[in-house]
Amino acid sequence: MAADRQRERVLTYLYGEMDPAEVEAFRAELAADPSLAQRLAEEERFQRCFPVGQGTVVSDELLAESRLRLRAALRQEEQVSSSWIAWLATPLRRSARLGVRVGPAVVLLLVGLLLGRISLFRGCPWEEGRLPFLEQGRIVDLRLREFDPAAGRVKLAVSLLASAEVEGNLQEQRIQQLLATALQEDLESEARLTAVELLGYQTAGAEIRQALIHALRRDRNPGVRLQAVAALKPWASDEQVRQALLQALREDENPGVRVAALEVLRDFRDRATIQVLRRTAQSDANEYIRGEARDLLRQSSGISPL
Amino acid sequence: MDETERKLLLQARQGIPWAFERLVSRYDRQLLALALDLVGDVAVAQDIFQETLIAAFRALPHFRLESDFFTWLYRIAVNQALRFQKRQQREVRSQGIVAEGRTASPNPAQEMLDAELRVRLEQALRELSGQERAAFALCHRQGLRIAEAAVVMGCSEGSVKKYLFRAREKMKAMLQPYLEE
Repeated sequence: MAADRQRERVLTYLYGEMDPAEVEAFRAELAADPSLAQRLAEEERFQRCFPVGQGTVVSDELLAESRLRLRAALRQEEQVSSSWIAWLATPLRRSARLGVRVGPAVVLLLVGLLLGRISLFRGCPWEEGRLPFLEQGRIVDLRLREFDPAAGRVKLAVSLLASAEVEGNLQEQRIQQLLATALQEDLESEARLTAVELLGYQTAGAEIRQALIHALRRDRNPGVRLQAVAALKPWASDEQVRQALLQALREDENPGVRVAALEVLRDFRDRATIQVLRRTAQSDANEYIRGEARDLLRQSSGISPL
Repeated sequence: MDETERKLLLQARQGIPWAFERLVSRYDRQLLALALDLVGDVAVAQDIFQETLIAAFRALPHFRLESDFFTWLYRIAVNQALRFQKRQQREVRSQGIVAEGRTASPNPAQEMLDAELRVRLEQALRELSGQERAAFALCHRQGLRIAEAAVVMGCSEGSVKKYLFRAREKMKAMLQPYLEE
């Protein structure tokens, strides 16, 4: 029992849970009780090795990747939760077929309710460096109005529930955020191409690189994936980027994207790249790509392509 | 809870994802760090992070506004991690030991020793029970007060101290050679 109490007091002291009077009393006790002093010394040795409050530090890249995954999961949640509207609409459609006059009225009521819900998106507080309208719902279109590549100046037309025009610099966080978001939305190919092309001018941020990796892995348009490879080229030595490029070389159905990925990976000689090159040299569906991979392996200090 | 947070919370409760994303962006780095401290594996921690936030998004309509949102999220994360640990029955993956963001040592020998110590620390943490690891992660790694950890873990302060003490004892035994240096 005495040991338990001693243990508890030591912990309370070490974790800063004592008030000043308790600390003073504890210190007086330490001077008088060698066993307590010895226990504290043991615990302090542990504490010096593992100081309190020095937990894992999360890198920007890991956080950006986790946020993207969360965003995708939330989108799915949103789709699931909106399915109740379809469930409600089914009897309405049935009633309309039966010629019941009340049907359209209820549909109108539902539309009104929905619009009411949408109107809640408005009135979002403006914060420095953010685009409030970006948070007012899903982007449905994005068009490039003007672009000065030298200065990085862009003018974009964004369609949400209503259109808006944004003017700024590619170096601004709000413009990058807009483009990165647009790239992950279900927009027309042209809009996604615009976004990926513009992001290619500004790939320094972790969030942008994640958006480009997302496009390379998931976009259904090979043109977008091709642009993503080009935009990611300067970052090919980054582990995550290289993994995405290797995946593209291994799995992308479009030979153009695979050729672009192969070109970017040309200078890498790490084990994972060599393995993928070997596999490509042996089994890529495209003869040209197989030949290029074989040449690369031969150049790599005579590594056998087989 | 400030006014902006309250507003975002009310919007997130209506199922608006962007509001939820902005709301949790205030805490997500800490939450991911906690998940890493709780499980020690990047991929698993990311899963726990996502499961925690999706569970929170679904449960938001039941969240009482007078409660502390941060503590509530932490509580869900700890529960998810404990559930995971039960599911896995200590079958943890050996990859992905986190070594990010540490202070770099100018001395290569010290750096090696630090890296080895981190690996040993991770091994020692795996030997702890779910509750012991949670108490250690919350109080020691994250620096929460014992009372706060008790709220997060849903137990008494005395229990947190007990778990914390056991965790420290086990770790001291496993890391003895390093502690003597």
